[in-house]
Amino acid sequence: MSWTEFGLALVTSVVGAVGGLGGAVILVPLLVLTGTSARAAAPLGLVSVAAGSLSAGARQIDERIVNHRIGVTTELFASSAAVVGALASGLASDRFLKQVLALVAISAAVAGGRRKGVRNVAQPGLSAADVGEHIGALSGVYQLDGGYVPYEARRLRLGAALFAVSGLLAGLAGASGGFIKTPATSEAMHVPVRVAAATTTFTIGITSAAGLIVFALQGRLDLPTCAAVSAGSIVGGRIGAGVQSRLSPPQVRRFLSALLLVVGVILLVRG
Amino acid sequence: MTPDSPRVDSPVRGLGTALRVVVVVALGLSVAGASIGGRVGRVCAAIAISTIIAAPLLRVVVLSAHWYRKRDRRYAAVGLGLIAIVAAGAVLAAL
Repeated sequence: MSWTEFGLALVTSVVGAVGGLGGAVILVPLLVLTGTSARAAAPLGLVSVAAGSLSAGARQIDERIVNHRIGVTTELFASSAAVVGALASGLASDRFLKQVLALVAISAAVAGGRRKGVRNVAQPGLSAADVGEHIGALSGVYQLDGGYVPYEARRLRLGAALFAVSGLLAGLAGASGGFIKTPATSEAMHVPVRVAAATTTFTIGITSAAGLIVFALQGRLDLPTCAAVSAGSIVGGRIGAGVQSRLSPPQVRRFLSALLLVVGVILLVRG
Repeated sequence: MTPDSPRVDSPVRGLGTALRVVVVVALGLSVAGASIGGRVGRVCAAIAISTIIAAPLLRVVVLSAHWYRKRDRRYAAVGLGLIAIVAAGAVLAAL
């Protein structure tokens, strides 16, 4: 067992799930700082993302909070860009990938620190029977504190552009891009943050699958290490989801932002 | 709800249960792949990683089939388009 990778994946998945930024954006910089090359760390990051996404999937389906139509539509752009990023990362130097990773970490720190809380309000006249996504539209209703909140995705072009950026970063650096996707869905497309976060958890699994297929065909997957990261991420994702309900996400996000900022600056200086 | 309101989609039956089973299988294979050395360990790790790659893509295929049955052909096509993009990426990487 690669205990270092297992432990790092477990801890970062717990912290990432609690903070809502995803574990890979912390895991990949930490792996690089502990001696793994950026080329080798990127596939491990995507394994962590895919495993964490899978781990959270069943519960989110039961809660009927994921909007799959929004996810699949925006994922067209993210996965296309992830494939391009993964192909390009095979040609890029380790120094360039470290710099990309540093910028990703600093961007995640800024995005995490600026994220807003819940802002949508319940609408009278809606009931539990209305909860779910709508057929033929990028809209739906979700339950919040005993009320029922309708929503509709807007500014799809802007959202698509931001998803393409997140996919490119996922393919290049192995980060989930969730720190871009959730604010893009929430702030740019006006989807409630809980729906946006759950839908992002679904879509980052697809983005990472697209990138991992490319990495596998390039022979860049070290299978025992990937398995250790996968095990750590599945267990960590489950623990993090449980811890999330007992801690204050804004406080954890601020801690994560500070940590990512430090990691990003160190990577920039040492890169 | 009014008669003009959009119709709420029903969840895909059994999808949540199937995902729970996949998570348990992927975890077991991952632990085996990381713990057991040699060829058996590598095979377990390969199946574990293949499982976590395939699961979200199969979820999209199942959703597309579900949407097609609900006569939501636009989003069924979007789902299949997404699978086609991932497949195209695999072909490009293999070249």
